[in-house]
Amino acid sequence: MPENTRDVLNPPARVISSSAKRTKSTTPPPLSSPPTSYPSSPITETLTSNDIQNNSQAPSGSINRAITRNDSQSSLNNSSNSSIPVNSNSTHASNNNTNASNILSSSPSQPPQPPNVTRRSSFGLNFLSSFTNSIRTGHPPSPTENPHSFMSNSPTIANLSSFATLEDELIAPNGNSRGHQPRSRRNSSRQSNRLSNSQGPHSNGHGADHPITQQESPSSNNAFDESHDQVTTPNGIVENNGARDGRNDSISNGIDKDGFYSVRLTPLIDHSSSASGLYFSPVIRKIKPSSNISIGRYTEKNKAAAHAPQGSSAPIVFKSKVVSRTHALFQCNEDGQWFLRDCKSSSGTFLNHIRLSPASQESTLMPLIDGDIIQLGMDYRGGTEEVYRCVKMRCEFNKSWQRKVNQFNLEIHKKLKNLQINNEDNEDSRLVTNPITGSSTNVDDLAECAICLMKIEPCQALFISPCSHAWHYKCIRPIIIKSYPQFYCPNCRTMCDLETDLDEDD
Amino acid sequence: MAALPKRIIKETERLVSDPVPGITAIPKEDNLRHFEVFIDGPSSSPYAGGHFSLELFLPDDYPMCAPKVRFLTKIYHPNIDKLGRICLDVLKDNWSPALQIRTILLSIQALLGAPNPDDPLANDVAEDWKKDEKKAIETAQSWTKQYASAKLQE
Repeated sequence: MPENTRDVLNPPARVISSSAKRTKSTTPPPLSSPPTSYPSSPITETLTSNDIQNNSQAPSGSINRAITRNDSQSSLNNSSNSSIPVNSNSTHASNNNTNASNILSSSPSQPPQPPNVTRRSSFGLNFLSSFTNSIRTGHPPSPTENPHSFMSNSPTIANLSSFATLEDELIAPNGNSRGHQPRSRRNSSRQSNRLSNSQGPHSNGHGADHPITQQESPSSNNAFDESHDQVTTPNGIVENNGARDGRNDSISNGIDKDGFYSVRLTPLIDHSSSASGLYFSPVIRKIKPSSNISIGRYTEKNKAAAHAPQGSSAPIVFKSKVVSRTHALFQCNEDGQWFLRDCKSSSGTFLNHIRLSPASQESTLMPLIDGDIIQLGMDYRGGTEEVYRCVKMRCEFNKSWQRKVNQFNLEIHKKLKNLQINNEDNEDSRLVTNPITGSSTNVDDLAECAICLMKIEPCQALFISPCSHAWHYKCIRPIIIKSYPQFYCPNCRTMCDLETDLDEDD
Repeated sequence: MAALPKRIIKETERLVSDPVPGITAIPKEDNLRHFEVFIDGPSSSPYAGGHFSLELFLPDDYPMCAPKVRFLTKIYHPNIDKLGRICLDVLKDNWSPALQIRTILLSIQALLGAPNPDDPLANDVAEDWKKDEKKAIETAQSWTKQYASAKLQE
């Protein structure tokens, strides 16, 4: 292979590998897999030196969330000047190794520093959807795409990495070799094995293609830059850009049909700890892109907000005295990225246990991702009284689609109904389907919770007893806990053992 | 008063929209947990022709505990004492939240049709019943006529 090609090829590879390195430190690093396993390497020397550089850099980039946040902040600031056009690749590429290592050791102010850009929620399905998109369009997601997912603190990291390998595998047969380098550098031993086994011999040949395809990613992947595109051309259209499709898809998934973005706050409850925060029923708010919503204390003035219907855009209020009247605010940008700002609260706003700003000082806008934990104020007087408790909550962003009735839960519900009908045929239904309730047909009867007399519908938490009767979990819970693990079915008076072994035999 | 649980509202609606023959249950205006109940004596029993008045109260933790039911009309029955209290398993230990007002009232109606002197509440009545069932039934009939005839209820 000509030395030139290599040179052209290398810079992007290194940029990517830097993000791969970050990835490595978030994922459990499997074995010591040699980054130098790069095939046919006249340049292994440079590579390794860069790798060392990477190594020294990796921890700061990935683990420390504060830094990540800063980076994303700065990239927000830089978003205006950061957009290196996708097609200017060649120039960038020819900037050779030194340039690349600059990028590596870059300060956040360097525009083309993709991996830090947003703290991206890495919900597995999003990844999958981007994955399927990539198959559909024949464009794999940009190599930096994966490292992004790895960046987040999601428990699905393991899944993602396995998906990532799968993806690479699938991409390769297309002859689109874009995946090769990042994969090999991603440094999980599994992956590098895969490379050496199946791909290794070919990667040189493909390498020639790299400069163009690969350049896209480092240069273009400023999230804000990119996300703007996404708004103008949602979903399908953007997919043509190849490098962008996956990400865009995952973000635009979050927007509701009516054009609102949603946030849902649930109290963080830990029964194992005595110091639980203020209890509140889950709050759902929806706002238009590029608007914000304030968080504060319940007062006479904002009484209405406390009773605002779920999904409204009313302020979020809490009945706790440690919450300031204007405590903080959520902001949502055009792309559905949510931010949090402390608005000079006196007792502080904490994002994942880190205080955003000193008392009575405004904080910067902090980017949020799904699953973040926000605490408003601190317990006062030991938090023994409810009104002096801080508010701890977990946030879900743009996930309203997840709670909607869909094909899946409708089907399951249907099956459940059938189960009950069949069961009813065989059963002595002396109690519930007495002449009385039996006046309605069996089917209707069993679609109803015998305790609250309301319908049993999809998306409700149910309890199904061994005798196949079902109730809302909320309704039956007092009976379950009263005599657990023995359960006396209120419908058929069967005594059930809820601790029966779940062995598969029999 | 705390808001009325949906279950009670639903039951009340159904009692009105889909009444059980021979049984009426109407909530009192001042307390919707308090029902005014009338049960007709089963035709094959000594209480046939009787129109018995009862009161029914749904406690706070209903349906997790049984409603409280009491006869207001005097009745000669081994399982109902002179205060009108009823000895019926589903009103006590055998209560199940899957039961409802209507099922309970039906059970009471059934109890009128099948007195059980072996598990008595009113001991004197039960003894009479065991000693001379025929005479006891006559007494029950005469009490029904005297205290529970439909005309008296007007």
